Amino acid sequence: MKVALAGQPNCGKSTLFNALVGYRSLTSNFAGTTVSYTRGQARINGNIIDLCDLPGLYSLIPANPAETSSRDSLLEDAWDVIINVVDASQLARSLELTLELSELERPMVVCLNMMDEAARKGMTIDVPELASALGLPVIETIASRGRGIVETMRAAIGLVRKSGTGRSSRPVYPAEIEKPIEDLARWLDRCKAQDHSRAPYEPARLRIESSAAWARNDATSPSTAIAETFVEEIGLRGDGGLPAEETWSRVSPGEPSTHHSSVVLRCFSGCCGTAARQEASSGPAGVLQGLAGSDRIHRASARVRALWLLQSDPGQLAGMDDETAEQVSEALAALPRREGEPPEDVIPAARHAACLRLFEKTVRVNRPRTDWRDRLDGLVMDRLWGYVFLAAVFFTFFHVIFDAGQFAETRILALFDRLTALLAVELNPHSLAFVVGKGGLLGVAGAVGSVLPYLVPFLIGLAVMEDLGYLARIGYLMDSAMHRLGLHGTATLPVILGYGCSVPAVMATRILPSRRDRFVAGFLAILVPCSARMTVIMALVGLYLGANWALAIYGINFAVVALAGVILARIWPEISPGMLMEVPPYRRPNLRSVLLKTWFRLREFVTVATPLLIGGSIVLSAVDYFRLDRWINAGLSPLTGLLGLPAATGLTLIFGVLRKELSLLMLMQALGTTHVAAVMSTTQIVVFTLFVTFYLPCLATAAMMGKELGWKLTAAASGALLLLAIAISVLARFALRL
Amino acid sequence: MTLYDADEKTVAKLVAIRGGWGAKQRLREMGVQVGDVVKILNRAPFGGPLAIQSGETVIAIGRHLARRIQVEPKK
Repeated sequence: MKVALAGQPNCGKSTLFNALVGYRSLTSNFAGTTVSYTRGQARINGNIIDLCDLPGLYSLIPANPAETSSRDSLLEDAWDVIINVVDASQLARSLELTLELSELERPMVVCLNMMDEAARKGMTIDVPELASALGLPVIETIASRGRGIVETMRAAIGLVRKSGTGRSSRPVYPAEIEKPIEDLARWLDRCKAQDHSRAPYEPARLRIESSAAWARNDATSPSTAIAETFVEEIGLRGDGGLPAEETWSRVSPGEPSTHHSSVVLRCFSGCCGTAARQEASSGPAGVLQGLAGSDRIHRASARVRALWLLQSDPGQLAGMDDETAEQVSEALAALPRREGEPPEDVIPAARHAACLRLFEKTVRVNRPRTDWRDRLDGLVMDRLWGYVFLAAVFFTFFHVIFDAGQFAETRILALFDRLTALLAVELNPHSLAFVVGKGGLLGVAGAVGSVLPYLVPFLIGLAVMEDLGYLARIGYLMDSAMHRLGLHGTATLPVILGYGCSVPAVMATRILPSRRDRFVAGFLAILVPCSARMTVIMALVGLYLGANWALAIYGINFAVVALAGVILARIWPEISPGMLMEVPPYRRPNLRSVLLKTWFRLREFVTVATPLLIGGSIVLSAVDYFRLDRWINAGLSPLTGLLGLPAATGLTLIFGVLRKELSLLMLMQALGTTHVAAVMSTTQIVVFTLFVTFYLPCLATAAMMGKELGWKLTAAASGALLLLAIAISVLARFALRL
Repeated sequence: MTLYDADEKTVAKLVAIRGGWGAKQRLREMGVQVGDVVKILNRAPFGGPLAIQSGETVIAIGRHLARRIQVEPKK
């Protein structure tokens, strides 16, 4: 039996999923945590149930790629039952999706989740009344405590057993709205019968090509990107282009061309027509989605399609033929509307009104119980105290991470020193086997001793702030500052995370909607000095030149980050229209969820970065063994010469790519003294530190960037960083000489 | 008067949303439509977003969008 969990973002689908199949799906108190499907199996009363946790969607008219994939799955996949998870504490709004889903006419169970929060808000829900009004089984649950979960699944099994009779009833709009919908649906049904052979064109290719053009930044807007792709790839030039058949054969060689070419043409014009509207709302992703959406039209029922067309879903409007377009405008004109109301607003407004009526009929709201949550937002989101509180939170957060990390690091590294000594006893210290073994051990020590002690408390703290709901509030407070850097408030998180470690910072860019935002935020995040670079700054500049010099390095870094943001915003302008984000209610973090989530994220570091660290460390040990350092230093002498650094620092810079703090340790080894100030001048120390701070992302970060943003962008970012580091270091060298 | 000009801690009725289909659709998804009554909770400084409460939902709305929403203050 196949069951899909569908619902609005942050309503607890993943929590319900995890309660049924064990921890597989990441949960948090943040809209949009699940961006891909998670599948699992559960056994209820001897029935094996294949469960799928779909990304949250606010409505069946999608606004981002995650929502599109959810909707498509709901339309196309052979679900036996859909479980609509509803946040009971936000019932009025959540019912809108429930009404839309019931239009799909598939067996459905409504799972009224977060009943505890609803009760806290003073809501008493008349569940039998709601169930009869919706014509659907409604089950109360508190998924976070495991309540009502088995009952939900029993209801789902019951629906399948009854087979067919469990279909959901249709919400009835007022008769004067129903008539145009039904008229249009009948027309679409007729078209479908006639047009049975008409298959949509292949959108995947166009999508790839046009997003590539957009990413290359050749095109000024997504619609031009699509247009240019058509022109370049297909040879379509307005009216004077190639014949339609030829056009099609170029898009999809070997496919019959009967209807497809005209569909391509219509999609093209449809896309560019709706593009202007879409650009303002969801950027290139939206336009491309609209393109893909036209592909799905035929899979929805005629009534559902009619409903979407009458709400002007761009994905539906693209690729419509002229006759249908005429029918749509007739139906739109027939909709009864108030003075000044656009026709496409009629159906959503009617649904909204129906939800409010349903809410009034089934919910009694008493005086809510007030507790800490209600008073907290007055402080946390205040225009003055909010920032004081934010600063205090960050100060505490980083202090805890730093202290805990240092405590563990010294002890773990001491252990590895003993192991290395042991290895020296077992093997000949001059043999290659020892060098390789020592290199490997150093790599493991770097991962376990230098990274994990900071990463683990950091991820735990992050998980707590996430589940609590504080992250969304940071985004709110930082929105205007981030806009100056061409980013949303939501992008604050990755940049701030960069102060701890660049690896989770790059990972966190996933919460941003567009590739452009992810790249800009990722780039700024790796510019920020991570805890490893902080070690270098503190132990080199701080120790030998004093705290004020160290502070100055931080100041320079801050200025560079701001400048880089402003420049990136100039060359790659922001296209999103500004913030529109749900601020989730505070929720008490759950220990189990926090720990499992930490482990989930840690696993990515362990699998991606650790092998690189160990392998790289072995290679560098071999370099040392074969005395290749002289050649490397000679090879790097143009660079070290330009920066005015001793030639011996060349190899340390290579070590720094592996782990930034290694450049410090290797510097002492290369210079043959721990009294760096005796060998290097003030200028040299500052230049060296500045260079190490900026020059290249460490291997672990580069690996994560490659995975998240693609290798091309990673290479481009690394090149830009190297140039930037050289420029800043040379500038510092000559400035300090004055 | 636009939503952006409304005072903190006041209640206002949305009378019109000037803006493209996309902006309206996104607001609609969060449960906000013309005719709804919302409470203005906070306003972030330096031209930052506005936090409003509609029903049981709190949403943050950026300055540009908030300027395109016409409201009528309610006592």
